[in-house]
Amino acid sequence: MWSDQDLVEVLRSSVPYCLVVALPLLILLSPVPVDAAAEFTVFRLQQYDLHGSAHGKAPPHGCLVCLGQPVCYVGHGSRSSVVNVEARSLDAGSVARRCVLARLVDLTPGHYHRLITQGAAALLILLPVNLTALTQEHHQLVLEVEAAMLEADTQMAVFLAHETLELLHIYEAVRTATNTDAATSAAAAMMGSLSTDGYQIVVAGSQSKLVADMTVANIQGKLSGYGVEEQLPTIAIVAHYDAFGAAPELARGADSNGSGVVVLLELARIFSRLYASPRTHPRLNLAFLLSGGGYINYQGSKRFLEDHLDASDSPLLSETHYTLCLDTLGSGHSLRLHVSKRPKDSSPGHHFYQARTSIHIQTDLPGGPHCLRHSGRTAARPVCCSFTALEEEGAKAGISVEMVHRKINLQEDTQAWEHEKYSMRRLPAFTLSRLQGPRSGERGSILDTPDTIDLAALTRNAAVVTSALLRHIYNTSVDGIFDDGLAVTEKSVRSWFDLITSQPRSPQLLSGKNNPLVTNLHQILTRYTNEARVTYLKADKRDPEWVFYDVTQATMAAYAVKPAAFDFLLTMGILAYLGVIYVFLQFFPKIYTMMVRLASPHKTKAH
Amino acid sequence: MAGSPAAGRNTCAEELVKTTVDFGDVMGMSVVLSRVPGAGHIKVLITGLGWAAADLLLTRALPLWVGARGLEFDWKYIQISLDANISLVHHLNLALLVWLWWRADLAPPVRPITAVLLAACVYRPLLPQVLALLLGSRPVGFTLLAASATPTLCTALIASHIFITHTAGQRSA
Repeated sequence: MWSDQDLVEVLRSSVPYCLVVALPLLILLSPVPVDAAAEFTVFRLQQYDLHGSAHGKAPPHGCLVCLGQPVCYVGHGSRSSVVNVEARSLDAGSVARRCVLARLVDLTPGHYHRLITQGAAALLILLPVNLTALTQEHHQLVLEVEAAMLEADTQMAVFLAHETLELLHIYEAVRTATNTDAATSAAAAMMGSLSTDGYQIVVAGSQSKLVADMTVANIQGKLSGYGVEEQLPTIAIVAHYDAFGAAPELARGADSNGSGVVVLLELARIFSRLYASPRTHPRLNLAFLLSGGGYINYQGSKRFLEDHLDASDSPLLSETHYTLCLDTLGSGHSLRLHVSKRPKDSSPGHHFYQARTSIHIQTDLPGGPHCLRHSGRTAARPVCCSFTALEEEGAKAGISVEMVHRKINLQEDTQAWEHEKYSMRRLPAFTLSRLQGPRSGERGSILDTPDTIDLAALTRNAAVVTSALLRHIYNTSVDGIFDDGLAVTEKSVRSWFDLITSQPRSPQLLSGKNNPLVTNLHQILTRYTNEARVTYLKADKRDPEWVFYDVTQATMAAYAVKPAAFDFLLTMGILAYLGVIYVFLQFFPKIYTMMVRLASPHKTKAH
Repeated sequence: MAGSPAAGRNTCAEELVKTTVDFGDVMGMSVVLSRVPGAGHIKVLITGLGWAAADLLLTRALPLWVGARGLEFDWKYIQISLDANISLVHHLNLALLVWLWWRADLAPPVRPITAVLLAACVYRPLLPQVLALLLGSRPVGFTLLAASATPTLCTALIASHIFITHTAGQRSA
């Protein structure tokens, strides 16, 4: 419809001006494509709040931190999950509003606190490929750093990532870049700072928010004894199945408490066979509890006790011999039985305690009270005989079993061992562990990986526990009972272990009604016990004791960027080049006539 | 010519055959030249500039748009832009040579030179490989730019000289 001439006219008049305005606008407004030098998965530090008292006092107590709030919350971990800053290395001069890249072995608690006070925006910790190959010193240092990171909360975003070649390359580049402070001359330093590659670290995504309606699941099962269930005594076996660590996604918890869960499942398997046959059906109940929230002050056990002691319709815990809690049994050559309190004179075991000579006391009933060998120890009767059973079975297997007595400090808000929850409710309980003390730092660390477990030792410990229990229940030595599938084999231990350590088990990752691990454990307990069920518990709505935040994993992108001065210089260079071209075009007619004049002498000569 | 030793690269003979197809460019330019109204150097200018603009838009606009706006800096975008400048001169050369070729009154001694220059222009994509054979290693980055700028400039000078001597006869002395 338009003729060529009209089109040319329009183009000639309007397009250049449109382009001058439209093109820069288009460039500015269009979204920048994402094309990074390197992108990698990073795991964020824990972020959680616990009900209070780092100060040792119940709220409200007028402390400046709480400032009139009804509850005192102590935050832990890192509060920030979004990063968009430049990278610096650990030994750089000023790290304010920068992301610091550091290797795990170079980081100390002192460095960490220095970074916080200097106002670093983020910290990326590079984890060595083989976490088990650390020296003893480094191992201890890592535990200290973990404790320092989780002790208090900070606005600095802390991420952990596995070292890859790419990441190491970036780390080296950043390290050499910031070391130009030691350059020879000012000019060299300036040239260096202009031309080196900096890195911009970007973690996109949203700011972390708290996990709404976080649930903690208890999985319990029961094997009923021969007779009327309500009238029979109970032995409860408890292990918490969650894990902890500096980063939730790295909390494998192989030893603590994967090993405890493995032993519990083995016990369930073996005892389900014994309870199935009428010949070996003992006259006592066995209750199995896989408690959640072990690292948030044993919430699972607390709820279990509330359900079965406070609610009067459940006879399960009405008469317990003892509660055996299993925690960290994965390696080593000794076991410790941790108990909380000495029995009072009026306890049922008093008559037994009085008999100091070696009298064998036996009764006819296999489930009844007995002690094969009185050892004269000052402990509650069932604890005593299970301890002697353990001691003897341990000696047979070549490990030493000792009893460690630690009083419960009722002033403290948190309990060190799981049995303390039961002891506080006046139930006899103890925890079996290979650890000397509850706060050795080995529990709840990211260094607790599946490679650190000695499967042979775990199998042996499981066998010792099983035979001690069998001895206690059946009042007989158990050599000869380990045939046709009742023995603890390394194969079955390995399969339980692989199942439980196949994923990270930090409490916020196990939340939700359909968590696969919880479903799996429920299915296993359904197979081996009766009335297996899952109980979900949540924190109180108005006054929650524990609050966890999400964003445990993110993708970090590192862009290689040049400093701003370089961009400026480059712009000047391009403008100079364009200026030269412009001048050339302006003078082109003169150049042309000069070329004509150079060419024409040939012509005039020919003429 | 011996075949290129590196695996995955075509031999020189294959590359030669592939580049011969670029004579279609010459045909296309002839067609455009005949359709553009005008006379003399304005025709050459219009054709060359238009061809170079199309080449820029179709070849280089997309990489620059996608890559150069990101956070990261890479020297290759500067090189692409400078290469666009060089290809502008190259297309102007090509337009000039094609126009000269189709002039009926071109002096006979000049025709072979024009033909050789045309062939050199058409086979320009083979330049990196030729240089690799001569120097031993394939030039990259700014050295490649300098290496492709030199023949282009030389061709420009020679072609413009031919043009000047050709049109000198049409100017009043």
